[in-house]
Amino acid sequence: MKQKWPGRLILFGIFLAGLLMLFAELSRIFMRKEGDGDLSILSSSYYHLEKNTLDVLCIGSSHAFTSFQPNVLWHEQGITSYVIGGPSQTFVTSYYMLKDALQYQKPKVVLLEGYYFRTYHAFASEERLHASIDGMRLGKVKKEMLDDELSDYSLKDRLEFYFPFLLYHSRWNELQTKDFYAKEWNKGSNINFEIDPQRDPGLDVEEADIPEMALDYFERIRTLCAENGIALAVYFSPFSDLDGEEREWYEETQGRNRKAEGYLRDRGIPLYYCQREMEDLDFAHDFEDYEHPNVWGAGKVTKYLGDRLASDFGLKGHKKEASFASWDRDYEEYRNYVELHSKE
Amino acid sequence: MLFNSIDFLLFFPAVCLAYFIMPRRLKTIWLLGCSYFFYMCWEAEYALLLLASTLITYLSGIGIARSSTEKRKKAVVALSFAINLGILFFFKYFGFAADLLEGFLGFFGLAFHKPAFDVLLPVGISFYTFQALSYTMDVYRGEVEPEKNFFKYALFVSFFPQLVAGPIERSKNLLHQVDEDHPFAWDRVRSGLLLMLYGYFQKVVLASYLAIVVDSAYDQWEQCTGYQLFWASVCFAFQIYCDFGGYSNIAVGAAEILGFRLMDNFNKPYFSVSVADFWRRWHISLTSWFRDYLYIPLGGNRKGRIRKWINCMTVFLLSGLWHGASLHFVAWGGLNGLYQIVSEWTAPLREGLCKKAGIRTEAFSHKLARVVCTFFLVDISWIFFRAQSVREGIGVLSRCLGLTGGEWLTWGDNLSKLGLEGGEKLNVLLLSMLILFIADLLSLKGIRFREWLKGQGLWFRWLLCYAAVAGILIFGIYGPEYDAQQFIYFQF
Repeated sequence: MKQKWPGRLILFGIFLAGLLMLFAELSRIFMRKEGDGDLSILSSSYYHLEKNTLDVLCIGSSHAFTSFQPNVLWHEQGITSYVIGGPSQTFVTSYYMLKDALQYQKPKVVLLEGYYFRTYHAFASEERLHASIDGMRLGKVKKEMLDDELSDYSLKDRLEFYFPFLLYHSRWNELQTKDFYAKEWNKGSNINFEIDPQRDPGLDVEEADIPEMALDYFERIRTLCAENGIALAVYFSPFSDLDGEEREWYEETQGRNRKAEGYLRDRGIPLYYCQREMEDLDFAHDFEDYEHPNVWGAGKVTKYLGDRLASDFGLKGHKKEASFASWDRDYEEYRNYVELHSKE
Repeated sequence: MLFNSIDFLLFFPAVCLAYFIMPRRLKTIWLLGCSYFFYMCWEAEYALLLLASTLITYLSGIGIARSSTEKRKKAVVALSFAINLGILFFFKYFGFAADLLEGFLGFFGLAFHKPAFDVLLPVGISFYTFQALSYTMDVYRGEVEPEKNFFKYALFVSFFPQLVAGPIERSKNLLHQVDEDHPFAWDRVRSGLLLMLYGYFQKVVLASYLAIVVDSAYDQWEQCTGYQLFWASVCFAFQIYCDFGGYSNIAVGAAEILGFRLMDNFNKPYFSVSVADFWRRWHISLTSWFRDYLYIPLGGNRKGRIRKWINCMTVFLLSGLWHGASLHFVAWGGLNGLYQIVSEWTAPLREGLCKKAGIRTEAFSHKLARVVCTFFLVDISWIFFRAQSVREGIGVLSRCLGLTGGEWLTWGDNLSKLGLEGGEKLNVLLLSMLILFIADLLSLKGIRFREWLKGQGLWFRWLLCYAAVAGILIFGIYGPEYDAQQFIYFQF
């Protein structure tokens, strides 16, 4: 019997498309999810936001996603925001994450957390890179990023970054409900309820050098924002020195922050040095560990940043706008979650 | 480039796509180039050995055709065998032979320092050498005409789907197919893809899970109980079947997509009712190679019982050696040879006993008992195949039989000792084994699954394919190993 080519070809095409959809869905389910309490990665929820509805896009490492709470900012100011952050996320990764993110949102302000003015390498470790970028959609920017960050990797070794399912498929015996129905209300932030009392280590430190790589990619971020007509601001999340045990690291990091302060001032980029400027920060109560604020510390940092952003950039709230009703619902989820876990 | 690598999943569709759209006259050269590329992905310079083997056997074919006397023909055959087996010996057996000689001379107090050669075993050398030699022999016997076109012949030797792990094809089956036109055919491609899919299931899911059990026990066999080693050994029987059988199915399926028909290499071997039956169903291409090119030329069963047994033992010892240059492979082969001899020797006695005891040999229960007995006999030999040495093989076997190692069974952490802690992996393993059993049983009953599936509705076929792909993707063991511990967020 003569084969009917066009019909079969179309069917084969549909079959292949089905296979691709199956692969995409499996990838989504098997991906390690954010909000485990120990990790925050870019979730697909970013791509689910209605286009061009963000006022502020916060970006950076763990210092960003632990200290910045979009739900608090919404509740306080009615300003919409999202955090795109990954553990040990360098400025290199942040640059590409931002480039990808701007394809879907055009925020009024990009708020960069500045801990990674210490960017010496493109990424800290493969595991950290995975945690940062696995949620990123496959596309031109992701390819560009991997070509840059993994330039000495063979294509074969890069595949697990293009298709994280290759890494995560063996999670089948640890899947949970949240893998099928991802938590989306936290908008990239990590909420931690630990209290690890710290001391206030002060800011009396010498300036330290900023690596060339950090400045290179910071400039790329600045240019990217300028090209898109987006204002750029930087903030430094507060941290301590573990009762002096991490003093060297602390002085080096704060020293770099001090150096960056001048660098940013020269270029007219607003900087929010929370540790110096915030009056209500309580080192004994507001930290989950010596590096990161807990939910209460993050609440204070976010309120402070919200006030500054609103006044410096004239951001207006959207609380009375019906089209932003889902933000109220998400805040309720956040509030319930915080109340529930605070009692524990 | 392994079949279960990303490289092959990119390579194979590209080869097929170009193959089906290019003019017919270019197809042989294209497949030949692709086959050499496939081979060179391992160790590029060893392609020269493949080329040498091809050239020698190609010339041997022409030499035999031009030889006017039987003596000259035999000389050409001998030369082809000597050179090819010489290369095989050097790369695969030189170190082993030197070790044996060193040990032997050392026994008599004589010092022998073996020369140090740092050579890697060329992948697939045993397979393509045997395939190429079969051509020399077939031409000598007049079973095929000598091939004049070198490129066609080179493709026969190096055809990538079966180049590195068989099936070891015969020139009379494969060579003429190079001349055939293989246009694209939906049904054939679909059938080949389904076979490949099943092969991937066997290899990536089943063999890999079974390997967890086997490796967990065998890697620390001295700390394992007889019970644990017993189950690990049972698992190894299926691991090697799924590993090799799966690879063969992928090879046959890939060749089918390209329009080539390769021989089946496995035929439900664990449904065998005797060891002799098993060897008619296991690695058929190698067994038949030894039968046709060694056993029969040695006299087969035509020269009396004792000679037959000697021939049988010779074939199995060499078959063991073919699998690897180590005494434990020889022991594996020897044990299988011994089974055959003892089986034939005791056949009248067993038949007599059955008759006297009134056992109905045609009953299902009797056949089942024979299948089970055959499996365990074969599995005992597999212990020596899997072990790293004869000593380890004896150690494992004696523990399995409860002769050494203390208590045969202890309650407690048997699953974790076998790498299956938590039990989830055990569930996947059992379900996969059930699928394998059903597939082999259907085949045994003459039900051709791929033909049956062709007659089903589109939605059902697609659903089954999607389920199979999803199952392999999820449960297969491939890619970088995910370790949640590595991802624990202890330091930002």
